[in-house]
Amino acid sequence: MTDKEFHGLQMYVDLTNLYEDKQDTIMYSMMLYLGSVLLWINYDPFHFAFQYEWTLNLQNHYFYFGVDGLSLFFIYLTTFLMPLCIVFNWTASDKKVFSNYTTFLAIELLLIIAFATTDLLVFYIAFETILIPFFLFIGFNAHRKRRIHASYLLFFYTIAGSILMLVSILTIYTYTGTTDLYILLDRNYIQNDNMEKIIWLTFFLAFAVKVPVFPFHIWLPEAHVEAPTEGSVLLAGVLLKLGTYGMLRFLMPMFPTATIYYTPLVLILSTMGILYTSFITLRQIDIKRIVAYSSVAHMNLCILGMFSGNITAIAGSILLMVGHGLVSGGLFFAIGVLYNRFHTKLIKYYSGLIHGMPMYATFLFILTMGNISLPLTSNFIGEFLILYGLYCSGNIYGLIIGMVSIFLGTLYSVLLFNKLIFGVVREENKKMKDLSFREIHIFIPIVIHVIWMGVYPNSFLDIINTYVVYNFF
Amino acid sequence: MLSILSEHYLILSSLIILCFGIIYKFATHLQFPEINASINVLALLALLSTAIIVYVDSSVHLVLYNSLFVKDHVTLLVEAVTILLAIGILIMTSEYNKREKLPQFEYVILLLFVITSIHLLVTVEELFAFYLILEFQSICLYVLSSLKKNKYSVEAAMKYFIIGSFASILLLLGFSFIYGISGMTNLEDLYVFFIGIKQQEQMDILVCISILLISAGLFFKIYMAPMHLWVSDIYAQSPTSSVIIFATTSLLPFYIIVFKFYVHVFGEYDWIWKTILLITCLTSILIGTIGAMYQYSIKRLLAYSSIANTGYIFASLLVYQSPFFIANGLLYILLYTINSFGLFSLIVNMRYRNEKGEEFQLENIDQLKGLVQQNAMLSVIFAIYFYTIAGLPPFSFFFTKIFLFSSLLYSTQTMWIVVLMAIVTVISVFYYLRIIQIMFFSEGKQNLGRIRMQPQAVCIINVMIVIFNGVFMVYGTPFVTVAQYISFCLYI
Repeated sequence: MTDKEFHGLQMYVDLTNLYEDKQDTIMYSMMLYLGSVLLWINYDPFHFAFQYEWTLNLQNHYFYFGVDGLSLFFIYLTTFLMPLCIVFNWTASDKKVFSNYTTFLAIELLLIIAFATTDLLVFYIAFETILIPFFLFIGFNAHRKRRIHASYLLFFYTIAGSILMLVSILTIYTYTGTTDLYILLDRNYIQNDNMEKIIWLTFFLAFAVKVPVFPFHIWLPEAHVEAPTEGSVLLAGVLLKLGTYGMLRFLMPMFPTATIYYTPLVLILSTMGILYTSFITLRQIDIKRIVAYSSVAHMNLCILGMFSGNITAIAGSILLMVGHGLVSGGLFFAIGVLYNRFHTKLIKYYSGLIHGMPMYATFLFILTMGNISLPLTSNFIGEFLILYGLYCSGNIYGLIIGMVSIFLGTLYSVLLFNKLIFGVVREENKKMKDLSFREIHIFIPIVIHVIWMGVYPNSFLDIINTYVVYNFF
Repeated sequence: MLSILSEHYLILSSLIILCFGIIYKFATHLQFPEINASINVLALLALLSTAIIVYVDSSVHLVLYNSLFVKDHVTLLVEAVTILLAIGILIMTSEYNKREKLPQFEYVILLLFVITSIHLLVTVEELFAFYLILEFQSICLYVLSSLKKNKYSVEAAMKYFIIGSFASILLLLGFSFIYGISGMTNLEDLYVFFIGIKQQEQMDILVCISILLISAGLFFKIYMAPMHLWVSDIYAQSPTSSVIIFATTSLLPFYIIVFKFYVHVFGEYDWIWKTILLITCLTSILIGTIGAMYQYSIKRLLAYSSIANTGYIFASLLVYQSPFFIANGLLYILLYTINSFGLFSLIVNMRYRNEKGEEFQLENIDQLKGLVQQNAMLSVIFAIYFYTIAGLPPFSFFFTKIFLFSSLLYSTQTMWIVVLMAIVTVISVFYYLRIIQIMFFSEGKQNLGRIRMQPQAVCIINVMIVIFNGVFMVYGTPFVTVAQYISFCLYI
């Protein structure tokens, strides 16, 4: 039996390795980044509606795409983080059957489609399809047996949450004959109040699983711990934002009455999430779990701001989402740097890294300060605006919870930084090497963005303001 | 006009092939030769020329033999689809039959007879002729499932035969009830008759019983839930080349037959058959999904998944009767048939080789372990089929599924069915994903086991099916138009 007989289908195998070449992949992703920068430069901040409109005509079925003040920054964030992930993955072994680059580009494309579409069904399809490359990505690249469990959790939480959203989308379609957001926002298409409330719940479930809101958050730490560094960065940086983005884009404008009706529920869930995950973070022994739980807390603070009913808080939560995408992405990169050196993610094996890795300690310090929302970093502006909005809307309990969350965030972030960086150098950490040239160039753009957003947030807020005032005032 | 009937040609040519085979195979001076290749070529020629006749003879509405057979565009579609399937099955299974030492000659003849009887089944308009043709088809299927001479195959055939005969008797009883009520057997006459007697209350119980009996008989043939217990055994124990025929060929014709009986003949009694259909659809969706959960045999898993998908398909008859909704059912069948054919064509041609160098037919899901390291493209195609049948976006099956969902959502009475179906879909994703996980993420241990894919035709046909799925995703309107046209024809 020759080998030729065995591999009848092997002749097509090259199809899967189309993007094996790293140079090509980073070129494509940098071109996309350039495109999103041009998108921002050419964006007219005084224009209310969607810009760069583009229509996809499939056999007289029209699907509309467009960018507005909300989606612009998420597209920017996606295209910004993707080249960094590819750079981080640069020296990983190329012996894998499926290259990571195919999945990277697939995820990037699907995220851009999800953020740029104004059609409910297209959004749903992109929202679900991202799971498939992510499932394969986590399953292929992680090392432990637990990874299969984690990828299953990721897949099933999201699909179980969002399948009822599909039913609701189809219900809306049968009522109106369209799934286009333009038309749906204009008309009061659901006469029945109960129907609107049920549809709101299904939409909220889908997005809440993705954010994740408190009772649905179990999948996130698992997925983060098992995923490789690039997967964690994309997960925390962009994928979680799909949930909050969906709430702002579809949930709140389309069902205003139901949103007001359900606001107390959402506020309670998000405050519970903030407190619960913040306290849980203090007890974690895995670095990735700490950052994962802290990102749950931050995203819940975003939801608290969004549902506070104040436009300042909404603007702040958009800003916090973008800032959190940068900061938590940077933190996951930092953990990945450590993991590549020492092959463990448990805190107790690390101590005194300042002695061997001063440059790393500096970057980690700046990112930690971002995570505790120190003034002059990106998260400070967002959290400040959220707290201001909560104060203005008279939501004192929300304000207190927000303050407590910032305090607890300081606690666990500084604790983590302290344990990693200071102290006596352990025997295991003797042979440490500081950041390489490649790794420095991952951190520098992130830190520049974090400080830029902290020092001059108006370049973001100008655009966000127009969007928020037009949509929520 | 008799010569136009393409079934004549198919019957005649299959009989000629039968004669040729018998005479040639028992030629003593040639020492009883094996006639694999030649019989395949002959059968392919017969099928191709039948396809040409079907294509040429696309008359709109043709009533033959004193309204015993009626041919229209619906039967045209069924004929075209089944002939294409039969050609595909012949190409795919010849290698398997040779390896497993199945009698290729009998297989081909039986396949041709099954195709012929399916063609006749959709054209026939007479109850007892229908029964006879159904029996003819069933006997061919029983023999097909016993084609391999081992105890499992014979056991499967015996089960199939006994249960199948029981179901046919129920069907015959239902037909005789109808004959007792009306005294006529033609479907068109019965349609007129049942409109006429609608006012008479005392008839209702008899009609109810006959609908129940006919449903029991038909549901046996299409693997609906209360009659499903035999399916997984027969799938698992019969030779795989026969299982392809069971799995793919019968779905579309029986959908049309059930449509004819329910909507045409018993259109006035829709509350009865809708209740029956509701119960059977829901139970088959649930049983198919839950039964497939922990199956280790890949054929058993596909048996349960076909039970579940039959439930989905026949739920499209539950909605308010409109051609647009029936079109959704037809599209679902089309996509499901094509994808399950592709899946089976892979399974038939996969050989598993263990550490000692012994080769087996692929039976268990565990044998797929680490397939991606050996043959990446094969595993990708496999994964695409499973994702497709699971109905996940953005694959083509997702779109047919949402067409079905949206047609059920038009009525508030059937809305809860959609919610149930959606939840069950999530459950079904679990076991499709398990196979993908075994193929992609498992490693080590069984690296010596290898999967063998023999004929190049498998590659070509599977790549074609995947491309067809891709085309359906972005350019599906022509298929939708055809399905709507066919369902309009059904209502005429």
